Amino acid sequence: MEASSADPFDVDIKEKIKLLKERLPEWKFLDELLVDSEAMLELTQIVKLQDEWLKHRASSLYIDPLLIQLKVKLLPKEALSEAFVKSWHPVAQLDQLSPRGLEKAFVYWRDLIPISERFKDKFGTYGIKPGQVDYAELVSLGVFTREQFESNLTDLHQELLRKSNGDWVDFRQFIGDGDYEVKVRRAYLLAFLLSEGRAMLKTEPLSGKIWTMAVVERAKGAAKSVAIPITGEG
Amino acid sequence: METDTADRALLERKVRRAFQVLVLQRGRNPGVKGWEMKRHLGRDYRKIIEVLSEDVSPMGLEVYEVKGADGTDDSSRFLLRFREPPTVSEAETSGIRIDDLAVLAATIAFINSKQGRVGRREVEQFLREKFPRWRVDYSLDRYVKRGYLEQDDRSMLHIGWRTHAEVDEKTLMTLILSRAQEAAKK
Repeated sequence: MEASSADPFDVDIKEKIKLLKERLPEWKFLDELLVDSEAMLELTQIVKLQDEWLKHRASSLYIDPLLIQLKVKLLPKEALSEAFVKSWHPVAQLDQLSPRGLEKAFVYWRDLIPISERFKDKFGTYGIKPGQVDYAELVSLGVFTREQFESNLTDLHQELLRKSNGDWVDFRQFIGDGDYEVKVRRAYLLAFLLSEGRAMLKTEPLSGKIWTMAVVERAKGAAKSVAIPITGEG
Repeated sequence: METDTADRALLERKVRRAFQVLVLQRGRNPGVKGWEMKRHLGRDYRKIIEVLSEDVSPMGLEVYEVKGADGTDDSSRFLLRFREPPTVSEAETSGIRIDDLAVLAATIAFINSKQGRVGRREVEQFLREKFPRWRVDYSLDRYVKRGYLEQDDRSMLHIGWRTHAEVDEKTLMTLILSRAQEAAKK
């Protein structure tokens, strides 16, 4: 009852006391009597709540809860805050800096761990920003070995030769629409073939289509840069 | 004649002292308890407070007394506060958000309608019908911290001492009821 806003008059105090009175002769042990007195204490708390309830209800602050809920729902936020401001008398006071406050601030600042260290335990280090990873770095990271890379490059060239067979093939279809990691790996290798002139690329700006084709003889001429986003979507 | 002058000088000194005591924040909460006032100003501190309240009136201020839980003089808290409420634009320029004030107004009205004590969860449910969840949680915590609301160890919310000190609750309830009628007519 105390931990809720339920109506304290819902409890029939008279009946409960009558019950306790009837049972009192039956209690023989100390534990039983203690529980009995605890029940009595709880009942007095409810009587106290009833007293408060009556006092509040008799005051002009009492308004039916349902009515107030309805009224608050009806009011726009601006009107609610305006009602508050019109009944508000803010306290006037000065916040001053005392020598003790200054000392506390100094000690706090002196002992404050740098922000880069503060959340290390919780979130780890901040890592590095996105950037470019070149072939040498991938080899040093162990993503590729030099031999693997060369053989993967040759395999992809062979596959493209087979699939294109002198015709343009859809770039996105070729790199695949399955696993994102595989897609990025194939696009990365294809970029090498294109840079080396072992494959060619054609774009159609209006339709957004990108075509590629493998060549047997290395292509010559000025190379152009094309940025192609590789997303995780299929 | 000389005695009159000395009395007047003493009174002026005490009034000045009372103003300094009230305006400088000592602990976490503003205001000074009755027993502290007695210590600083002597037994007749209420008279001095009355004089001070008249003196600060031209500046739009007053000394206000909030009765303590046991109703004794010692437990009363005295504060220097605005005699008249500020305008909405004045309140806005002090950096307070309209949404935050709306949450507080709704909470005070709801708690008062429920005999002055409501479970926090019930208040949250009531407010979430009108305000986003994050604002409800943030505002309730903030107002508990600042003394406008009180939360006991059973997570029941009560009206805090600061609301009793700063807010004319009857006016607030009346305004909410009358404004809601106007809003309904529109």
